[in-house]
Formats: sequence, structure tokens, C-alpha cells
Amino acid sequence: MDLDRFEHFYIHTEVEGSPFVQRILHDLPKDKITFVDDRPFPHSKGELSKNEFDRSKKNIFFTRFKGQFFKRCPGARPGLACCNYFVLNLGLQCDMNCSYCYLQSFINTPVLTVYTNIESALVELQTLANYQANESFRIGTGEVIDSLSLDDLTLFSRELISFFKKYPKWKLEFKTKSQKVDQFLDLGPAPNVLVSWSINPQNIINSEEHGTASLQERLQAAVKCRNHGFKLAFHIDPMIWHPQWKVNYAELVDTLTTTFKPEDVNVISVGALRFQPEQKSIMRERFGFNNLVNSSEVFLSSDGKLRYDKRLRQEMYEFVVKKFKSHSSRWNVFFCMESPETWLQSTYNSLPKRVDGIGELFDHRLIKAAEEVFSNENYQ
Amino acid sequence: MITREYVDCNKSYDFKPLKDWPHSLPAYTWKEELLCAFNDSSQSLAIDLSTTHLTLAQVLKDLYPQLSFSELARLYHVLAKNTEMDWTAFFSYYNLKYNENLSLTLVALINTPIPFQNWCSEKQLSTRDLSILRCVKDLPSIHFILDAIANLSPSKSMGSSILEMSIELSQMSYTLDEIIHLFSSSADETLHQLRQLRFKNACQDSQRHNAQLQQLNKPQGLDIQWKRYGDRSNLEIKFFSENQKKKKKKVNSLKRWQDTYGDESWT
Repeated sequence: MDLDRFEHFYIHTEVEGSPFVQRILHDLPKDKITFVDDRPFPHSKGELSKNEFDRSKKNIFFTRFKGQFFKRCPGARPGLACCNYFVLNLGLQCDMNCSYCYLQSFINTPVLTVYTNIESALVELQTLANYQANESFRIGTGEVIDSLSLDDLTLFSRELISFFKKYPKWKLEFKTKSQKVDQFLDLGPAPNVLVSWSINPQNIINSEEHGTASLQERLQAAVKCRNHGFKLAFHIDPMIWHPQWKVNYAELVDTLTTTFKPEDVNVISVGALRFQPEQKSIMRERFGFNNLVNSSEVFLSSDGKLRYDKRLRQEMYEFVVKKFKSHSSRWNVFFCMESPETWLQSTYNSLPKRVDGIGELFDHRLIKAAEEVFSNENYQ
Repeated sequence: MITREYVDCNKSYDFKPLKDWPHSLPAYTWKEELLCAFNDSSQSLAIDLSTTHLTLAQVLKDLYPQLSFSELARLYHVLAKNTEMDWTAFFSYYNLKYNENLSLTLVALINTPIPFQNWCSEKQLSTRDLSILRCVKDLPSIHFILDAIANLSPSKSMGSSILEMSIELSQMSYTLDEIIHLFSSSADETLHQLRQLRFKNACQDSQRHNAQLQQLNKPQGLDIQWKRYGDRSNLEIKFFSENQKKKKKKVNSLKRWQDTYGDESWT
């Protein structure tokens, strides 16, 4: 465990006696632990400054989450083709440091928060399972925190895998840019547990994905997971334009297709750089201008985000999809957070729910089913 | 109520308010520091408001119910060392949230040339409009860009775009000389030139399409151009017709044009 990179660990007194805290106390450096009755840095409120955001990555706050863990993916918005994804947020903020990270315009708490009450999250899942065990839900834990970068400390993966093994129709996805998988490999095989990596060519990792595992480390970890009976997924997202993008992304696809077989990999999602306009300011303050993200040519899109020119995006997607298909038509590739129009104008020439291999992901009956369970008064 | 001799009062809180203090009103102080009428030799006495039940923040808000962002920046600067000042309360009177970003923006603005600050006041630029200043490590190095913007006196939206693009370019690989050469006497033209450099690839792509268009025999009476709207760019075709017959004629000529040149060459 590489906990030296953190400046301090704050533990809410409310959870001091919990089994989770009692276990991790042995792992944390004693001189860096403080028990608190309230959130640390109470004066930092609202939009975080550059310094506050930087500091939030170095201070962990262990506390109880009092809201609902289980939520719909933010991609489920009007105008975007939603892939039916649900999220289970077991914390907030990431300990890695990608220049394009959307958390920069999303987070307003000045610490990396880890929720200690995973048992409450499991109760929520059990409630849903009581009604919908046979539906094919996809649930991910990597929306607002990396699923695995702190997992050797939290060991949340072990509890979740054990739970999901009881519901083989459901899929659990860990989404990460780390190489930390050893802590749960013994629980395999678990074919309904996807371990997924957000990947980019190594030159993009060097330039934009600070503090993350190298491409090679990510792929080696993926090989370990595959060998222990876990399914894989890869997210080539965000694709970042640069003069040699074709060469570098072609090489990335070649590496993936020679390391893995289509049957090892559940899905591959592809997306291009996008961010909220209000995120520009903190990105520029934190990473300067001489990088590929802040110097990119992005324009306001109809969904309010800044994106590359639509034709360029399509060219990038087409390139990657064709490259995968040139290896095998069995690779399932889909576009993340794009409009139905993008799908229609792409190689697929079809709406996503009609595309073989990925259509099921876009079946929206599941969203309604989950909403019904959670709107039930007994649950509230 | 305590009064003080005007000549004995300090002027270290002179934040250069844009409007003169009305002669008909008395001068006010906080202890020995003048809060207004900084350059009014007609004043003889000043009223000290520090002995009332009001806080310094309340007093300042009452004296200056309207302040531009630049004036707030200067006030923040001159009062920086005053420990009595409740900045959270003060800025809330002006609908601003006092946090580190606001503080850094105000400090950055203070370090810009006065004509630029005045332009910001005149056009009512906000924290968000000026957030780009926080990214510049060496503000004096871009003073002449800021002076050029002040000289140009563009509208708020155009000026904000010029400010953002010129600073972006200055912090990328472009020299200040290259950037300042893009400034002309027209704000429109300046913005156009800056955009050509900041969005070089996209602009070159549009130019290539428009150059291609020039070489084609376009149907008469139709205005056909390659245009960008946000993240989308494509052909924009405009025509005007007085009646159905003429409209049909133009639509037909457009169809013939499309049959000849097809869609594919534009993608």
C-alpha cells in the first residue's frame, strides 16, 4: 500500500468503532490520523480553488454516507444515447490526477471521501435484487472515485464480488486506471464481474493522466484478472487528438487485440475529450496550457459541453471501430455519451439498441424497473 | 459621534472609486482612516463611524451600494491588512461568494494596468470572465495585451473572448509579438484573427472547404458558405425568393448542383 502520498487521514468519530475503521487503523500511519466530529476544512465551501482541489487529493476522510448509493449514470440525459448504466458511489474524489477529469468541476468537498458503510450499499442492492434478480443490470463503482486505486486499503471489491456472485444476471464493473487487482483475484472466477480500464496510448498517459498506472501495468493487471476468471472491459476514453493520433491509437488497438480475445472483453467504449465550460478555468490553473487538453480545439456542443469538432470526433471513432473490426468483427465497441445522430452517421449506421452485441446495453426497460423499486415507499 | 479633522485623517484606504464623493455629503472615517471623499479639499471634518454599532463591512456597503469588480479588487487590496473586516459578509452584499477563487481573481486584477481595470468596470466583467487571469504566472508580461484590449474598448462578450484567447495563446507556444500583431483597430477583426490562430486546424479546415467552394460553379442567387456553429460545421445555403415559381427554380438549381458535386466531397 502506498499511503505515504497522503498528507492526512481524517476519521469521523461516528464511524470510529465500525469494523471497517478498526481494520484499516492498522494500515494507516498513526501520526497522520485525526478523529473529527465534522468534515475537515469546513471553510472550503462551494467551487474549489486550484489549491483546495490539489489538497483534496491528499487528504482522506472516512465517514458514513447518509444518502442513496445506487444511482443512474450521468450519461442518462436527454439528447445522449444512454447505455443503461447504474452507479454505486462508495466515495468521492480520485487520488490520481488526470488533466481532463470532470471531477474538477463536480466536486465541492475539500477531501477525498471514502464511505465506510458499504453494508448500507449492499442493503440497497439486496432490495433491488429481491425484485429484479433476473434483469441484466450493469452497475459500476468508478463514477466519482476510481474503483480500485484505494481498494487494497478498503477491500470493497471483495464484498461486492461476493454479493454479485449470487446474482449472475447482474454485471458489476470496477473502472480504474490503477493496477491494483491482487486483493480480489482469489475470488474468481466471477464471469459477471467486469474489471475495466480506462486506457490511452502511453504518450497521452504521460502527458495527461498523472499518477496513474502505465498502459503496460494496466494491461498486465487485466491479464491477471482474465486468468482468474473475470471479464474485462476497456474504455478508450477520452480519445485525445494529437498530430500522431492515428498511429498511436492504432497501436493501442493492436496491443489490445493481440493481448486479449474478443470473448475476454465484454465491451469496449470509445469517447472523445469533452468537458463542461466551467471546468476550463481550474484545468488551466492546475495544468497550464502546454498540454493536449488545454490547448485543444474544442467547441460548444448541443449538450453544453466543449467537444472536438463533430466531424473530427466521428473520424476518430470510425478509425478505432474499423481498426477493431479489422482484427475481428466480434469486438463489441460502442460510443460513450454521444448523441443518437452520431451513431446513425457512424460505421454502425444504426441506433445503438439495434447493433448486435451491444443492443442489450441500451435496453431502457431496466431503468424503469430500478426506478420502480427505489420509488417504493417501503424502501424510502 | 466622534468627528475628526479632515486633514488629520489617513488616506491609505483610497481605493480610487470611479465616482467622486458628493460634496454635499460629509466625509466618513473608520477610526483615523478616511473611507470616502479622499480628494475633497472642501471637507473640514470627518465623521468616525467606528464608534457606531455598525461593522466596517456594513459601513462600506452603505457608503458604496454599487461597486464594480475592479473597485472591489482595489478595496480588497487596500484593506487587506485590516483584521476587523468580515469579507464574507462584505462580498455577500455584492452577491459574491468570498472564497479562494474570488480572492485570487481580485489579486490578479489588482496587478493589471489601470486602463484595463477601468474597462472591466465599464463592461461589468465578473469573476468568471476574469478567471483566466488566475492562470497567468507573470501578469506584467502580458500588460501590453491588456492595454491593447483597453484601447480597443470592445463590448463585454467580445472583450471577454479576446481576453481569453489572447491569454491562452500567450501561455501556449506563441510569442507576445505574434499575438499583438493580431490586434487591429476593430474588435471584430481582432477576435477573428485570434480565432484563426487559437483554432488553427478547424479554421484551416473551413478555409479549405470555402476555397473548394470558390472553384465550383455555384447556382446563381444562392449564398453558399462553409460555416461553423459550435462543434458542427457544414454548408450553409441561403436564398430569398419572392414567389413559389422563383423558389422552385432555385431549389431545382440547388438539386442540379448537388447532383453534380455530390455530398461526399464535403465530408
